[in-house]
Amino acid sequence: MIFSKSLVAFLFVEGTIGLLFIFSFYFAYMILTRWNFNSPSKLQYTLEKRDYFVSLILYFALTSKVILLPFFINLLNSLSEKLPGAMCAAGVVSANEYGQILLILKVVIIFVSGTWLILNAKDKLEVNLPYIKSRYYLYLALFFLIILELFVEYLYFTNISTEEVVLCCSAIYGANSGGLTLPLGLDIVGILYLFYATWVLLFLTYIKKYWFINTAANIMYLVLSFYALTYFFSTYVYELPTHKCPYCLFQKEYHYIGYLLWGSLIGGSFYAIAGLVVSKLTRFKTDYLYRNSLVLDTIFILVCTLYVVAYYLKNGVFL
Amino acid sequence: MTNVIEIENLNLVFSAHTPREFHALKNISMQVKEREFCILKGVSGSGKSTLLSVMGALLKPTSGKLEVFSNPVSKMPDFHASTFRREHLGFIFQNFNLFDEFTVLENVQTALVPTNTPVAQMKTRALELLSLVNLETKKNTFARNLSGGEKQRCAIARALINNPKLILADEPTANLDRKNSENVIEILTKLNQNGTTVLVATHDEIFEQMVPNLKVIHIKEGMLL
Repeated sequence: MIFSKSLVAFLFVEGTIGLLFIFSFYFAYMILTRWNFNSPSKLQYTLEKRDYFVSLILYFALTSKVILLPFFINLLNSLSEKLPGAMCAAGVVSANEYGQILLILKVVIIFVSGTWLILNAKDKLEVNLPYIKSRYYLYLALFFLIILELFVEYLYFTNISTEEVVLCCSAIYGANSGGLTLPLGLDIVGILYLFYATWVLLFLTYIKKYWFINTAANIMYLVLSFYALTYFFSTYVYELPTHKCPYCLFQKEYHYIGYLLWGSLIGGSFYAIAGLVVSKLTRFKTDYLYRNSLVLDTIFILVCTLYVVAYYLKNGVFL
Repeated sequence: MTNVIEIENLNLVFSAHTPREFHALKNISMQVKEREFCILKGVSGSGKSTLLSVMGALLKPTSGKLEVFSNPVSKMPDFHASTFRREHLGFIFQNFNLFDEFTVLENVQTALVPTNTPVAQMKTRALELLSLVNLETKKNTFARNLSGGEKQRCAIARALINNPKLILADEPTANLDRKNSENVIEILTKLNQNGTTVLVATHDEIFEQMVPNLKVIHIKEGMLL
């Protein structure tokens, strides 16, 4: 098993959040099965107090989860120093079969956590807490995701060997990797056309307020951006045509630009999905969430493009 | 006349399921109608202040129904309870609860700050109320330098700043001498005659002597008699 101080701190916080979720489960079950706002019974008053308590716990727990994601990426990067062959988090993630699953699980949890936080805020604006059941159903989904995440986390970290050589990012994402292939049989130019076209679609659907299409386009934008960033834009960040990696961007040498790029991309998609979910579950307009989404998606595309333009202006040639 | 306050089977238990469990309110059912002047009368520890605090959304009951102006006050989340208090209620406390470091005018204006009222308008309204309670000459005096009667009049002015339709007063004359008590009761009576519903928790006989058409509700050991 791999060991570091940051890992212990990370697992401690993750474990604490897991315990808080387990602690809240009984109250959540009671609220889901016995809640009746109009009842003057002692049980109902007790449930109202419990809801206040549980909501507060979940608010802090889920906010911590959001903050923990960049910390987790930073942890993976720092662990790469302990694994032979690893140059960045890419090697650490691929150290065993649980790494990718854990990363995807974490992003899904961030999306659900963020949606819960927005729904919770909307519910507190109403006198009779009309969205309380939706909140607790979402909590149940989060409960199972977080328990699963803890389990995968345990499997992942206990199965990392510090003696076995892992692959570095150029072996995973490089030209001869044979690992990831571009989707729909497209080449990178095709991906780039689709990437920019999707942003235009995002902009137009925002102006026209076609929220469902906007959300779908955001999911497409997230997928396309992964390929565009990994196989095209990252080479301009590294200024090396053979260096294709989504993780080295988080390193100091590249001014930690990965946090801004991935943060804006995940944030942009999150706001669009949360906008759709919250508008379906509540009476509130969620235009501002789509606005946030567009702003973040635009930051992503601008920063990516800026790297290419800057490189061209500096060197008079594209990579 | 419509009910301003409607209570059914209200209970409040402090420290439930502990050796110190205490039933402060037991099966309270009552109504207060629009424009009524009511007193909740009982000895110290009878539960009158607790009941008033529950009505004012300062405390939540353990069970039962409580509606104020048809709003389920007892179930309101804290954020809404604060807004409700600000918009519908005027609360007068036995110990005045003034800011000693503020002047009389500032104390009265303070209650308008969360409403984003323009400063000039706040001042005009505060001066009107200070005039109503005969305290305009003391507007620039610090609250700590007022007498007990003046402090209570200042507290009344502050309670009235948002034009409440209901005033809840907890022992407003307990710390005052006879003359000042009469002053306070006169102000409350005048407000009641102008359409405000007034509910006072007190053990002071002076209310029964001074207030016409007074409704008296007796409370003992957390139960209405």
